[in-house]
Amino acid sequence: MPKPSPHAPRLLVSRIQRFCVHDGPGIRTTVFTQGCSLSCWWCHNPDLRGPVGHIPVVVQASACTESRRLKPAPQASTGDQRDIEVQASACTGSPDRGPKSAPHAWDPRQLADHVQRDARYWRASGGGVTVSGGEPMVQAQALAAFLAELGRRGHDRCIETAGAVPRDHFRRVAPHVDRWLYDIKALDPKRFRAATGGDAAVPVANLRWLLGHTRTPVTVRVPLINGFNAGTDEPQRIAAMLADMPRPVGVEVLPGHNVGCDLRPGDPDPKPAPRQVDAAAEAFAAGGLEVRIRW
Amino acid sequence: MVADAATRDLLPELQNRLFGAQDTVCLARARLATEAWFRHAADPPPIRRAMTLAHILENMPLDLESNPVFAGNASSAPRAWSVNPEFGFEVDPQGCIEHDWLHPDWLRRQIPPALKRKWRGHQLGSSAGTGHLAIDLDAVVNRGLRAMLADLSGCSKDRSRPRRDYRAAMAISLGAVIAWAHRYADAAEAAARTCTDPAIAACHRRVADACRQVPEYPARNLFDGLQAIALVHLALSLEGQGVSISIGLPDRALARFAEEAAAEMEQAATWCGAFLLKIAANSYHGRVSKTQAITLGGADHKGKDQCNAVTMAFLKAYERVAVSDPHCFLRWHKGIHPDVWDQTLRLLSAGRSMPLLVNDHVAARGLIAAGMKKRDAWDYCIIGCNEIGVPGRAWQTACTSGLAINDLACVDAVIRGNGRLSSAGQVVEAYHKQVLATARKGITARRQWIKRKAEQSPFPLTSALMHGCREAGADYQLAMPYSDIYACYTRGTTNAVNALAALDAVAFGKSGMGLGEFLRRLDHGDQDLLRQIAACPRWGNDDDRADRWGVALNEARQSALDQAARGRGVRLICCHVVRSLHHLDGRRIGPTADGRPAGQPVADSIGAAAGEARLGPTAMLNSVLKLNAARDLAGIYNLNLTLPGGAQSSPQVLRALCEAFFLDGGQELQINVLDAAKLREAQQHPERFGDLVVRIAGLNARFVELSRLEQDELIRRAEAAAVST
Repeated sequence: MPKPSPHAPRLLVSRIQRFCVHDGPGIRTTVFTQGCSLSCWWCHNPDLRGPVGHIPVVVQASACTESRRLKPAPQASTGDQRDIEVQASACTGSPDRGPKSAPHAWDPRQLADHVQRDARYWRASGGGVTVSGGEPMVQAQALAAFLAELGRRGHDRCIETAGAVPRDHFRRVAPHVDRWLYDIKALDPKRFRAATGGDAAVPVANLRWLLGHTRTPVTVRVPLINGFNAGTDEPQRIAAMLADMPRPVGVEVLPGHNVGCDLRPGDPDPKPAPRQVDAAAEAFAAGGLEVRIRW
Repeated sequence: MVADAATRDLLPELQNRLFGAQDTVCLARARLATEAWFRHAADPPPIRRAMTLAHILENMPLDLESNPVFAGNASSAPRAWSVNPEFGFEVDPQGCIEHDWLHPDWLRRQIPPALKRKWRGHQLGSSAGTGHLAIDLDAVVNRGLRAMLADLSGCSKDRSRPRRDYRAAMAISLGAVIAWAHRYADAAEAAARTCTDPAIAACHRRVADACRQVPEYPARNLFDGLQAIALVHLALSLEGQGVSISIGLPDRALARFAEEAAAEMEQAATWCGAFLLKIAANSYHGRVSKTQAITLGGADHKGKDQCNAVTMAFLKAYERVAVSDPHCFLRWHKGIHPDVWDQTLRLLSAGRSMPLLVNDHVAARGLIAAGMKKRDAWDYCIIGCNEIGVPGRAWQTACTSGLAINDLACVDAVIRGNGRLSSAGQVVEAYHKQVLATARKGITARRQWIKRKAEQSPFPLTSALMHGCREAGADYQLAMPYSDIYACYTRGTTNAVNALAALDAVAFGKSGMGLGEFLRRLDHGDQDLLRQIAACPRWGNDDDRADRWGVALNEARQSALDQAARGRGVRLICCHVVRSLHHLDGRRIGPTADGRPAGQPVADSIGAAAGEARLGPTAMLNSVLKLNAARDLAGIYNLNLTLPGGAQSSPQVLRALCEAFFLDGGQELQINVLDAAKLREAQQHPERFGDLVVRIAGLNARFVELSRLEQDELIRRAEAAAVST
């Protein structure tokens, strides 16, 4: 196997989970990248969330002693974030270490070699690789390289994103994606910023671009969170927004839960009431959208 | 046929009756066997055995009540322990592991003192014949026993006295089974005349009609065929065979009636369900599994799929009745009938824990490599917990005597006996030598054991139903085809692989502490060392640093077995069989290099050790796929895969897992879909979970009937599965 270039972009991955059946079709391997452009209080992977500027600290604390010259972009305002560039000259990659391992800077090709150990199950099930996070689109350059490598090998590629990154990131990554799971959390700017720290307009604009400029299947996922958007008019507003998109999309309602959350005192339980879930699903259905609830 | 709907409605009641049966002992066979055995003490052993069987079948109380759908019984009440005094009053120690109520003296205490005195000094040992066989079912169903008697008559000019005696014993035995069926026919006719319940009376009439025909003559329809199988199967038990008298390949034997089953699938499934309940009532250890395996599906040697409507009827029957024994295996191959495969996946996804899956392509290839003809190899079935054999042709492929290797114990003995070892590779070499020495002795011991068993404890009925034995006038233990292919049992492989990986990382190499220091600290329970061992790569996580030792160990074992067998006129195939022996083995082994504390069970499968499949099922399966099963484990391995319920065990996901695994060389897969919370609830409220059937290492069982030890092990397995997925 050829050695990776020391200057090749590295994908900062916190964990790799095999045998996933909820992150796209079939049996999939989900690669969880480190770092996120949002900071949702109900996040189920808070260990991957963290301010992007803190990534080097996390990496230095990891078992990956060979990774070096990590150059993350400085923390920037959401929606105006530059690509994180992670480089390591001699990191040879490490095996997946289970659910809570420390981040590791992977050479894209070696990461592809590593994850495709399960390719036999992807092929048999119509599955593939899903890259989630954190926010994978933050690391657009390395992500695109990884996805391109998977594409050359004929594997199905899915991205799970909240869309809160610059448009250039989508332009760079989109050609290498076979399907998208796209979070739309809320449209109300104040509500969105208060809960996530981001700009609600960015994901919507990126979604519009994606649907207008690619033919790749997109499933919109709406996390329904008590204390955030459950019981509000957000489902109706999102349904109306989606109806105005360049092409139709399917919608999945994801009722929140508190597993894995790092809730602070006073934070509500993210789990919505069943009637709120039903109401949200009805709102999407009423908007002419194909809707599914994923408990 | 009449009363079909009524028969279907009977099934739940029959099942409840069976599940509610007490763990009792039936002394009827014991008393009858005692009378005949001593009366014929001067006769040659085969004649004595045949006369004993004939006396039992002539006088054994018949049972048309507990399950009136089919005739046949091996004891006076469902699941009552039918005692074989000519062998002994031993209790299988595995039964004591699996069931809290059973203890080593349980049977002895039930035997009247006079009976014990009578048999003192006359018993053959153990508590029954070895079993682990499947007869030529096709001949039973499609030729009938009368045709076999004619075969024997054709050999009457043989001048050899032993062969003449043996054939005479076979004829007596076959005739006794025919007469038994006629007794049943008479009794059923009489019962039909007096029975006031029209549905039951119809069952009796059907039984009477069938028993006039079978097993004496070929079956005329599906019911006849099932009745013939049931009667002969139970007669084998009454002859004195022990556990694992397998049904073989019933859907192939009954293939003539596939059109009938297809036309009336509901009726066929009902009959198959009642048949399963009849077999399940056949007891040897009360509620302990008798592992009377049924094998379905598969391809023939030309690659033609052998699934038919009878296959489907059996699978549907397993959906209706929650029996744990007979446990069911399905032979998978690339061209398996899609409906059969769909039904199988539905059963597994619903948590039925059956059928267990065997990949034809690997299993048959292994048998061919061991010297079997292609046609026979593709006719294989399961003849025990998970051992492989061929109906009527191969039995010693599942015989353990003299040839058993616990890999962990072997590796442990090697490293403790040679302090100069300085690499894990050297440990494997020393293991090879140890296996070679064991196998050389084992071949001799096996030969002597078989000869002694065949002389002292012949089974003329069993032998009459095997290929080649009628012609040879000899016992199946000697005269069956492929009696030169011996099984060698193995266990503890996973632990041994983990031990090698730990030794490689911690004891050996530049930074290693050395073998002496490693063992000293291990024996003192040094916590720092145990932490280091726990951090080492483990088998079952698709990690080549551990998995390469799995490959090396299995290759070394088979290489040693091949070397031991060279020039001895036998072939040795390895069979990874566990059942509950992982507990018993573990109790005999001290602390081991894999970090396992003294006395703890060894692994219950060739997969990851309990709780150590850290990266989920695909990683575990990938590790196992690195083994060359057809070459190194041709006797079949035992691979448990426990999955949580929900999307991770949907039929679609199971299909993909199984097909990917099998297409890339996986040999066998036993899938449990278990929910830990449900199991805990069943432990607390057994009355609500009577139909919860689970797969343990080598048998299926109703969860609520298992010992606390086994229940807890299954709960731990389910918890680990939920975490790792």
